Amino acid sequence: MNRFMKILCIVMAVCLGLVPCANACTSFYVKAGDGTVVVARSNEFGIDAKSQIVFEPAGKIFASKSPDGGQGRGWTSKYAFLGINGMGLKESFGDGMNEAGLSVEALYFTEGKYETPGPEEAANALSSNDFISWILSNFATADEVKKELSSVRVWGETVEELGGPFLLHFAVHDATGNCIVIEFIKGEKKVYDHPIGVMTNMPELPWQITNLRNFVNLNPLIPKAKDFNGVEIKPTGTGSGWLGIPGDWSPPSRFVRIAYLVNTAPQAKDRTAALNLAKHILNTVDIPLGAVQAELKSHSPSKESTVNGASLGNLSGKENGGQGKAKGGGDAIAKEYTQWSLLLDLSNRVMYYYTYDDMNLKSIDLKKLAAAVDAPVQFIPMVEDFSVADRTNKLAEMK
Amino acid sequence: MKQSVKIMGAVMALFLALAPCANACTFVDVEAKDGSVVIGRSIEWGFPMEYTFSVVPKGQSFTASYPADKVAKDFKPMTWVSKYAYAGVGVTVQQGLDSAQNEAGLNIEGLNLPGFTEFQAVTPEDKSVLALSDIGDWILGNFATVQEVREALPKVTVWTPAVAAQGSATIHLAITDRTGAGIVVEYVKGKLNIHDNVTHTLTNSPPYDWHLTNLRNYMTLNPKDMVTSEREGYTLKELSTGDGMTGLPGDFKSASRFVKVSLLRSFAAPVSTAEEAYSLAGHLINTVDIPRGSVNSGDYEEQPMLETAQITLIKDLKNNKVFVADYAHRLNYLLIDLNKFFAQNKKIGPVLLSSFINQAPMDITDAIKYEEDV
Repeated sequence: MNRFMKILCIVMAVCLGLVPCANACTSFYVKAGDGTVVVARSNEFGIDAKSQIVFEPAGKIFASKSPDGGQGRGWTSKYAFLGINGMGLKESFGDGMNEAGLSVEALYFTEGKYETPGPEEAANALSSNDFISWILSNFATADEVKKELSSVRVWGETVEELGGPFLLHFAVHDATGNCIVIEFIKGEKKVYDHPIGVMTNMPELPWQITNLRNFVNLNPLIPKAKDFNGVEIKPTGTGSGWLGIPGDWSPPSRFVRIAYLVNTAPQAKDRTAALNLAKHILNTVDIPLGAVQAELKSHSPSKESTVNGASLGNLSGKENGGQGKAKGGGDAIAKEYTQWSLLLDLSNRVMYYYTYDDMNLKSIDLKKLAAAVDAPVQFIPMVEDFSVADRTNKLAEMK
Repeated sequence: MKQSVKIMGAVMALFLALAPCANACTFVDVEAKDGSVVIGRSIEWGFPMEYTFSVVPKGQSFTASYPADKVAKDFKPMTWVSKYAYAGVGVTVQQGLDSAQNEAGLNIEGLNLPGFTEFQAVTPEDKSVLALSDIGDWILGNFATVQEVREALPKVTVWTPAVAAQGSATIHLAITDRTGAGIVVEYVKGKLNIHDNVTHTLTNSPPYDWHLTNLRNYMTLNPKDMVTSEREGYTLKELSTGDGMTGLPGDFKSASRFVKVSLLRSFAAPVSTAEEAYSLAGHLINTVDIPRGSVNSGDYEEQPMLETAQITLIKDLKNNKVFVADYAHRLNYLLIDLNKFFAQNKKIGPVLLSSFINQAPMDITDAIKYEEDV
């Protein structure tokens, strides 16, 4: 194993959670005046996860495992869905939306701990890698999910290169605008109604909501001028009422920033306005490459670099980011970036997405896809090169 | 009945204070190399309060109050005789806790925890029932160490009567002993939570474990200067010392005071003696001092309630001393040596502290001599 590959492994292991808070994700929703619900979500990572968009048809048979490797919960899917995979796990998803207008956003939650179903509960055992598939293929509303959650026991399936499971918490949104959040804390499943709808990472949701109380002073209005012994001191400009809104990328700061921006925005009137608003709000947590770096300690496993059989030989970050820039002592730096972002129109079942290099929206109409009879599971890569809509000809054509 | 006597007549237990409205308090303890454990504590309110000083001797009998409609028919209230003498400061409004220490060096501070505190529901099965207004007397009269309190508290049910118009008291306790061990005692959703006070600090809402997580948001702060930062084509130099603490919250809300005092305590240079510890505790509490007018918990212009540290205390648990200052006389702390009262073992007070705190700064003009006179 050469030095380059070694560093890759180190980057892998660390980016995926061996170091707390090594990646950032944000999600929220907006509801338009015409009832359109749009969920927005960004996914940050220090290395290219090589994510794909996967179409899973209705009527498919799913079989999860129990912790001892035996048979776990099995089911036949009621709803077709789109899922986003990554890290070579073909049909394990970090996000997705189904044809009933339900979405699940998984965000890193590095100090979570899944349940531990015993052998007698094998029939209810659900691998953490199958949790999103189970939700998206079975349920149409957040309420349905909430009712059925107690029927499964979600255990953390080790992902070989991580030395442990993907540690995640989950936001479930539906087309009516309802949102619930599921966290696994100290081996227990916690379910919260979450009308605020904002999610980032650590710490747990109740903490984040209490933290919002520290920022109720934030105000879109410009403060009034003050009199200092006859000298008028005026605010320097618009936006002064937001002084104190955290601008960094830590999970509590992103949570506060997004929650207050969503709260302050006037309601979008329709679908396109809601998509546009969601994009503008999501932009405020965008990470220009280099602004967030994780120092990687060289204590990571030095196994051959595969994740569940998929070769990682071509793994790379952005520029020199994910590859790890060797520093003294063999440590390296991973530069985190927003690999992909989703805007999910739950009302019309359209998934919009864009990636770091290509910021133009692309869309997939799930209704059309699902209408195709017996469509098999399909994969398309997310990442595309920079693109732009060229208007030169339009101008040239003008007389 | 004179006003002051009336106020004292309303005092039913030693430690009196209660905070349905928002108020700010800050607690910190520091330890010196010589083993002295010193507490700094401020008590903020937005309306005028009278503060009292009291001493309870050992050998005094107590009977706990209980909700007669909730307990079993054959219920017997808890009774005890104080094993330790104790003394402290209270407020002459309602029953509750504020700030007191016993001769064994156990100290208890009550700080407001509004919006989260809910004391326990008394049921006919409960045999050991204490009202919140009893808890200070019970702890200080019976126990010498934090460990004893930690073991005893889960065995009692603590309730509080709803006070008309103001709701129930909402208090959490910082309990510290002469070894420097400390816990935070909170009753949330009717359940007792005892936290190790690892930061040696306490402010107000939310509960202690929230604050501890919140500290993780400030890990970049440090006492070192940033010095210089090389950029492509130019160099930035720090403007002054102290820039490593950029981002330290400066406002007066509970979460900010907790971060500020906890971090400053953690960075503080070690102190050797009790006197140095008094100084450190005083400086730490100074960092959350509220110049009158900066915190208005009332109705702004119409009915302002300007919060200040009405009383600030520095307490030595090893040497049984209390230093006290009020807002108007914060230039000088006055000393009460509790050893004298503990030795006499007689009941004192409550006496109004305001009758003692009236001291102007010491005038040293005459002590400064011309060179030729020396």
